[in-house]
Amino acid sequence: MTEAVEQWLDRLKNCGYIADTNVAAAVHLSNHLNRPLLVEGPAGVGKTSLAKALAKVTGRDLVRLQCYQGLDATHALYDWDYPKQLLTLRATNESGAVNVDSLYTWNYLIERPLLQSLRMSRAPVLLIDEVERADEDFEALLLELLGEFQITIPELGTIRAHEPPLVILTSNRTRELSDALRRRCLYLWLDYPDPIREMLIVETAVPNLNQNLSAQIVAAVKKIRDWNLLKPPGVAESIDWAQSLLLFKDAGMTEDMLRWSLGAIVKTQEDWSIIDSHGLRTLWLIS
Amino acid sequence: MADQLVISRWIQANRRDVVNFSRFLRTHGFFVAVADTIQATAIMAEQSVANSVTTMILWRVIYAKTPIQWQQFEHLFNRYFGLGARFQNVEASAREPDATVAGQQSQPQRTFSVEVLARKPLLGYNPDWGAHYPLHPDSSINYGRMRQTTRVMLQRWAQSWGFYRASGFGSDPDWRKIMVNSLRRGGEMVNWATWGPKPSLPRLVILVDVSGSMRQYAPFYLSLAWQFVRSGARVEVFAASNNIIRITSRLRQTGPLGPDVIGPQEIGGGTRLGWAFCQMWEQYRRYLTRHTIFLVASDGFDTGEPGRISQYFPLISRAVRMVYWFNPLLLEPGYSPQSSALITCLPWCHFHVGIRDEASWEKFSRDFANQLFLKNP
Repeated sequence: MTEAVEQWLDRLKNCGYIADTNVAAAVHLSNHLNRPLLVEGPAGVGKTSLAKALAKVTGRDLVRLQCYQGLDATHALYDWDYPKQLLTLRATNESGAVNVDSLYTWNYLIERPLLQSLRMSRAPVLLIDEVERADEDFEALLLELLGEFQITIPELGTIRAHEPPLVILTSNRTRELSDALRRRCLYLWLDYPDPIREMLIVETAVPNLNQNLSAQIVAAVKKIRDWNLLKPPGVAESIDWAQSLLLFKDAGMTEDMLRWSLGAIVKTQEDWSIIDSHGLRTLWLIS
Repeated sequence: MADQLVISRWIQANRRDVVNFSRFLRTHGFFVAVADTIQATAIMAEQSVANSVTTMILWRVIYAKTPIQWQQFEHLFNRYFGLGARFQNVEASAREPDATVAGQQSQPQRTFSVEVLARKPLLGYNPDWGAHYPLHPDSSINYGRMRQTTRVMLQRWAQSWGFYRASGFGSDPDWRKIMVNSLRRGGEMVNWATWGPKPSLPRLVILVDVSGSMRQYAPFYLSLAWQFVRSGARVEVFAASNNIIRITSRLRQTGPLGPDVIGPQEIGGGTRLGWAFCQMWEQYRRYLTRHTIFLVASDGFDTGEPGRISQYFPLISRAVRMVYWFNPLLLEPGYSPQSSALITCLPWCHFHVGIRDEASWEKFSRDFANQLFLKNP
């Protein structure tokens, strides 16, 4: 293993993010080659947390753009401050001649997250979260940013980043992304962690948890993931469940308590019926 | 250790390996841009890569673009660069001193010289490689020692089964043909037809995989096939890589140190087992009877369409009496069949055995003779 990858492993671990070598190698390459990193995987495996951890590790700001259907350039890149322009125009009309070009300067520009990340003096970590939720047009909009780390504003010209930001795109694969977008990014598939790593993650997130309990939680969650649920529990759900179970620890584990706490990992009625059909005792050894 | 040796040689090698690997990935559905190839090269030049696993991890981030490609990449990387037990064997043989004895001809086809390794530092599977090595029976084998074993096995495999039927040559009337001829001629029985000579169908059909991945083992299997053919038994031998060629007559005309059975330009690399089985079924079906023993000598690494294998191999298996799969990798410690071709074929094989040299062949034959093999294969 290269030293750099090991260093990334340690640095991420120190920030509370338990990564494996694949993650560390991807982060190292993204940082080294100045290329965006596209992270795909099931929900709740730590894609967004990776970006947060990177911001913490590198000491950079985190600029986050949450994607949604209908997101466009005016919400992601920049927008002109029309009320301000209008007011200026009225004021100038009263005084005399109007210079239209003076209305399209930085004074009237509202910076949105993407432009903001390019203009920051210290390059931030730019998180473009759940990019597949945005429209395909928005993907095309991102191409220039991801390929060249620049944005072209017709009135102002091309704005290039002094220092390329560390860009992390996440996707839950509810829609296939275009080849053009994939081509500009490095790729990381983040799957459910293996049980030992998941135990480490849970124990790091919930410090008071003893090893036996965390092992039981991880084993039960792993079993549930094999049951073909509509929403299989991710690592985030494991942590929530651990925190819930910790509250009942002193009272001793009963079937009722287990049922109450399972709300942390089972999120639909259909999944509940699957759990019930298997029986709670197959999940947990209840005395 | 072997991996470090590989990587150190890799660093000294030119960029052609990376370019060829990118090309290889493109043929497997990867969208590899030129920029990706450049960055993969740059990473190798800049990073102090400790082993092949790290290379694979770093390159996967660059080359893979979808979850399926992410899962496939490790397999393709290992297949292209051959970093496994097979490769370590090759490396070990490469490190051995040249065993040339004065007055005897060396055997370059059995050991890989260091020069060859340096030229192809990540030695292993490459689609352009197959059959670019001498393909004739191996002269380093002690045929005298193997003869008895081979004869015993032939008696078991290629002996007649069922009732003996005379050939009927020249004497028995072929009533069907007589009737057809007479009807054609207005009912006159003018032509007296008899049965022709009955074709002597083979009892043993051997398919030897001679692709790049079988480079180390193909000479032994050809030697075995040559000895079968030489014994006069009814044997048909086929060589398969990206094509299938019937080599029975060629084996009759060659021998150890004889001319090559297959020329370098006749057959290319990249195993297409599915295609080979398809050709066997469509073109040579007459050889696959209920008396036939079908031997396949292959490591199961296949670059063709898995669908063809699942379509044709069961047909062959049902048609013949028994299917033996000789897998040279089965003797590797800790080996378990992982390739999709093997996983598809093994349920249809009667026996999956590890044979790759004289010793393993003798052991198999001994077990077979002692009936141990049949009781507990």
